[in-house]
Amino acid sequence: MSRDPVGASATGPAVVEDASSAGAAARPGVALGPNLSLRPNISLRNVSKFYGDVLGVNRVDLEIGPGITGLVGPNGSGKTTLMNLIAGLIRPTQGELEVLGIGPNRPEELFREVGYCTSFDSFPRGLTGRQFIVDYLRVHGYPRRQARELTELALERVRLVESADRKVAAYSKGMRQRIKLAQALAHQPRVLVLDEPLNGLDPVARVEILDLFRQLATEGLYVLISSHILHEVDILSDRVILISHGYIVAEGEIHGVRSEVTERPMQIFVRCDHPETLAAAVFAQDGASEVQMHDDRQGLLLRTRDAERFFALMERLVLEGKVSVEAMGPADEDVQAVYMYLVGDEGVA
Amino acid sequence: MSTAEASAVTTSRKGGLHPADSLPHGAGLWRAQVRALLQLELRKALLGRRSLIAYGLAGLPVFVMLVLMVAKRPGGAPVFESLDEARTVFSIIYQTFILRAVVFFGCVGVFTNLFRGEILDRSLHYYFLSPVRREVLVVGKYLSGVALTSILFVGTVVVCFLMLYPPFGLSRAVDDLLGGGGLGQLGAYVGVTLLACLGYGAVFLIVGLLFKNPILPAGAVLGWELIHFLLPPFLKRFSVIHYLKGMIPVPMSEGPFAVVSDPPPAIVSVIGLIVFAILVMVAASLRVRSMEIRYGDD
Repeated sequence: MSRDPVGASATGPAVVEDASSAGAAARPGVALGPNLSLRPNISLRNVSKFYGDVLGVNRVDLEIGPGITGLVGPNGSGKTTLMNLIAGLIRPTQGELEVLGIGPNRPEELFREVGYCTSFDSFPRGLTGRQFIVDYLRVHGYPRRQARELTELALERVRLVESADRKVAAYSKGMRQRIKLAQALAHQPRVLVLDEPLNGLDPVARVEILDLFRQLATEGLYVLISSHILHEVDILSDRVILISHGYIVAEGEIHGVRSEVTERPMQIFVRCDHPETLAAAVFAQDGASEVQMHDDRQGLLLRTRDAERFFALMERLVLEGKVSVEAMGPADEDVQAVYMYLVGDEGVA
Repeated sequence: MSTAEASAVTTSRKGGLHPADSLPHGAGLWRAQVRALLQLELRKALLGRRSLIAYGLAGLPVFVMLVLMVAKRPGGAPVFESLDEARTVFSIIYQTFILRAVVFFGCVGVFTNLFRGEILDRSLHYYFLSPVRREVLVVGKYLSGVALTSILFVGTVVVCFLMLYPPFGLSRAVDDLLGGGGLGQLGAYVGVTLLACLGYGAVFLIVGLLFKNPILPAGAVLGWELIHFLLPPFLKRFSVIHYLKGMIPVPMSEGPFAVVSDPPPAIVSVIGLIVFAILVMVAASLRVRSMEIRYGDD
């Protein structure tokens, strides 16, 4: 039996819901584009998970394609529940869930395709790092030689070869994170679910691991990462899922998500030689709600509800030679800003 | 897997191949997984803190036998005056202490922790995230428990039995073991101990899965096993000791209040306990299949 190599990247739909709807019934979101994937993705259809009366996640509809997807939300928002559902550790109370076309009732196939680095900082007792990975690969059914080969590859990827023969119990927090990551990677899954994988890593290790995630994404893996460090999600993710109180608040590429948040004016920064001229032109035009001059008077920050119209104005001013632009771009088209607009400032850094 | 297949094993997905594509399917895969589970569980158990209780229990009868070997009666005579008497003393120790206390509590400690221990350690998810059927996981863990308790307690029984002989000399020991039925008796004790591990193991496997705190249900099972001699014949069938008693080579009187009934034939006992263990594993598998990882609630 052979498997298809991972196919073309899919652009998932961006869906935005009013944060105020969290806690009330979920409303259908705005789809920005069709799912272009020709192969099965990670798909959740109307998935809910309740722990008794306690809501885990509610009515989640998601289609996650290859590449890096950031999962962002405050503590208790349902991130881990969503990851546990996708990884097959728990089952939905209602709804349907498939990972690469495999349902949770086919664990022998599912867990070959899924690697999950959980947030649990716990390990079987008495094992070295190498034994930990080899022994669980043996449980997959691999013969000892092949399990050892796969283990070495995984240890090399997380750069833990030299410490692999030490007991896991003697590892630092960062090393425990790495060995968990190696264990999740060792069987070469196509879907990698990572719950706060950068916790406890020193800055150098963070850079190395972020590079590894990017490399895995370029290899066509589906990498789902949760983090409460919005900056890391921002620089790493191809798309984001914002979750709050068990509801998906927004999902998609960050640009698409931001453009859907129409009730918040877009912030744009401009560095130019005549910011006063630009400010005057902007005020003469409807749509700008606020303009703020930079301290060095070499640029400005403006808020507008009609970015397209502003860019047309800029183009005209530049062509007429009234301003010379050094740099320009959106100032709040990042995860941090979108998160603040939709979720608020709880539980993230 | 043949040598040719083994050499074709790849550790990368290049060419659309996955390392798992070379793995056997069906029963072959399950066998390999059970073997791996057995090895991993034994490694963890033999080195784990939780097994210290089982080690201590296994050592207790040896200590008791050592005391009896060197102890003297009030008149100065040794405790083991004759080999027949020594065997009778051993049978009493075996039935009242080894079987009903050492093996029983050893099985409580080992089998209730097969799943419960990993939930407390928050490491069960590593198994649940492996592409292994939950039924295979139950079988592998149960067999590892049987292997561990058998190694420990069969070892204890063999050592304790052989400790009967030193007061009577080596030639007497060889004669009795090879020609006097000693080896047969030892074999019977070993067999009963193995079956006890199988039976009590199955009971405490399911107890560990059904109860967060297994102490009370284990106490209830202990009470049931202790009063089984008072039970009417029909109810006796629902105790493990009932199936073991008939195979013990030197029977022990159960006292004037015992409700006497014929123990089942050895073949019925063996098959009955194996069938019981299989039924329990089916029930345990159903329970484990529906388990979800929610360590916070445990």
